Amino acid sequence: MATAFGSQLRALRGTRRERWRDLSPMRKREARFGLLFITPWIIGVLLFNLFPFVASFALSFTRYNVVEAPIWVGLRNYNNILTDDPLFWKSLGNTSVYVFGSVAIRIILGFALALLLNARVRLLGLWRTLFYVPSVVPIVALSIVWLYVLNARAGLLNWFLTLFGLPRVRWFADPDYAMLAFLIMSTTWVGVTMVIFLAGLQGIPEEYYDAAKIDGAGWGQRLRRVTIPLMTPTIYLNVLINIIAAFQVFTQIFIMTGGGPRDATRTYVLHLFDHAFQFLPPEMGYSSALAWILFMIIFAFTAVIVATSRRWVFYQGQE
Amino acid sequence: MFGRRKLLLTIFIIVLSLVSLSATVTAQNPDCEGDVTLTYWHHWGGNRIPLMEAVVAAFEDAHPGVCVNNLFLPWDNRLQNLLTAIAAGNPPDVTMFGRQDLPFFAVTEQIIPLDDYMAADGVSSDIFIPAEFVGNVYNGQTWMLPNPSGGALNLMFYNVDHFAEAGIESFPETWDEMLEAAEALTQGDGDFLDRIGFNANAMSGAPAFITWLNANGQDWISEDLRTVTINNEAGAQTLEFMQAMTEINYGIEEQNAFWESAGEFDQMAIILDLVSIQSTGSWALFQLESHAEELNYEVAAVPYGPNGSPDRRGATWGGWGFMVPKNAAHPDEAWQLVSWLTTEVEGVGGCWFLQQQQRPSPIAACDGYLKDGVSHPRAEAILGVAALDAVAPISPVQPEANQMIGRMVDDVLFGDKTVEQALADTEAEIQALLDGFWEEYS
Repeated sequence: MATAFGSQLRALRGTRRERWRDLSPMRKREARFGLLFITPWIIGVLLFNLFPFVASFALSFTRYNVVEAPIWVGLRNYNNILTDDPLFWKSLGNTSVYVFGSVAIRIILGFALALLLNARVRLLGLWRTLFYVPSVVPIVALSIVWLYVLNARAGLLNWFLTLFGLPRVRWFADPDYAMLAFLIMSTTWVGVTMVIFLAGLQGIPEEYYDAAKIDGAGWGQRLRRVTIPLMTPTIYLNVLINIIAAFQVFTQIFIMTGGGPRDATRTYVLHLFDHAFQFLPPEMGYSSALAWILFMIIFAFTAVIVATSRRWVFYQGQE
Repeated sequence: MFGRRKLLLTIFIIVLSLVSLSATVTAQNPDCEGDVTLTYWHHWGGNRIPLMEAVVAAFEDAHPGVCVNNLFLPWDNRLQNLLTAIAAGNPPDVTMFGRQDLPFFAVTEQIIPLDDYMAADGVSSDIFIPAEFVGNVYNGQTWMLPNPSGGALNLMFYNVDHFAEAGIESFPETWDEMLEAAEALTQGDGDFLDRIGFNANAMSGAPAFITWLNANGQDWISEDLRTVTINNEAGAQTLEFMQAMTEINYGIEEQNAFWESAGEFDQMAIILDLVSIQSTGSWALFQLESHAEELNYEVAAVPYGPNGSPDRRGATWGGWGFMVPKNAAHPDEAWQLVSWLTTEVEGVGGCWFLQQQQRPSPIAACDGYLKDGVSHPRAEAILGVAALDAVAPISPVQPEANQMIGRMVDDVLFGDKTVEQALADTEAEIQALLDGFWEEYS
């Protein structure tokens, strides 16, 4: 196996050398300019992504207050997080609720909207734009809008509830409802999921539906037997993207509740942010350890989804 | 071909130059000529920017050869910016600085002590109001000088018409009177509020619990900042008072939900007629005069608790000042700027800057309300209330301790813990945090 891989690598290297040799002087010049122009990006990635990534791992084993040299503390940060930080477990629990809730909402709602817009409806472009536009609005502006929508006294949502004789909800004052409010808010970004689903739906050949109709399949059966199986690669992609993003939820919660009431909306990244940037002395080593634990959790989730994908993701032409 | 190549290289260099330039936004007087250029950071935004520019220009005129690179930065990221600059070895020469952040920076010696400079220039600590100066001293050394006032944070602005409607003749002096007044002023249907008499959880300055504890005659931490002192009779009375006030407002959830709508700054709850008594700082005078000319209001002191006294009301808590970080490029000239920003009474300096905003000064000889030779009609009332302020000590772990105190109050108001249990747990929690700090930094 190793030998086969090695020969492939050697072949690849050889091919590259031959290709470079075969290039005309003009193409070589263009290639050099290409490299020159992407140099800032490469430097940016090395300096601002790769270096902090490695440095944060090293710092996670230190006590580091930014203004003094880091002091090696071994596994103390990890030990304190797991055994002596009740807010770690609280924030992880809150984040898990947000991840499962928001991903489910965005997948189901995004898929439903994509199905609707994939039908031959009038003003399709307009509808697509309307659903997508909130996704590109800056999150700070969105947060302010949602604060008004979810305001307990004069909010639009409470007004709507009272139309049906339902009581007003104290969205951000009641610990039982605060996270639900953020799940409702997560529908704002359903447009991104919807657009990806729509692209997937438009890639399903019409012949499959024609064949199913000839076999007497109704709308529901076509959805279950044709659409959903052929959409599993897109569902897979959307689930992965949304899970990774949802684990890092921060900005709207920082702006709207700061983690309250009663820490009901204290999410993992907010907890990490507090230790790094809000507390004195700054606890960069502790925050780095928190960041690496989050990385491992996201990595584990991703690995499980990728590993199980063979059982539930189907590609066209696959046996 | 050669021309195209040159063009591409030129574009590349221009792009790189623009990227590097975009990281620096400065406001330097182009007319100033000097061998020394100080980098100065402050957080006076909005209509205070031209005022600060005038102060800096006057400093440059009074100190030939010294120019100032005057940089306004948003205050909410101030610690991140400062810590990053210090860590990078490139701090500003002078920066505006929160007194509440002093202990950590002093313990780690990231600031230059000012005592020698003060002695050399004959600047005595006596020129400052004692309560304003004490927060600038740590371990016997002066690390910064104050401006503006760290007091007058807990002024009780109240709606006189509401008081008359409710038949209340004067502002409450004690907690019992305050509860009675709040009950009479609060309006609602029993489930939902229409108007709050008073929200004891919404105090400006220090965390509400610390402010009320201070008004109940008790410091929350010992003078040497080593022992937490909240689990006592005064602490229990304080939490019980906050609990009783919250019950008047139909409980914590309705109180918080109502307060969300109350707004802040130019949309203050008292301007919106949503509250009868609002605790806020001296800066609110400007908002009230700009946005609520018709409002019939007065200013009073924080009522005192059963363990307190009429002479100790509001909490002097932190406040701003100016300091010179360690590794500043020009510490001697930096001191001159600090002195101009904090002790200058005659010229366009620290005193003038406050007078233009009409807010109290930490300098005894400076009447911050005296603008264009005329004092503000409410100056006497506000300064009278501020004279009853007492310094609330600030610990080196204050931001995290504040969160713990906030949780303690919520534990009681949400009914999750008894007053006694909440006080005992929180005192132990903060004490452990504090002990950890002193163990590592002593």
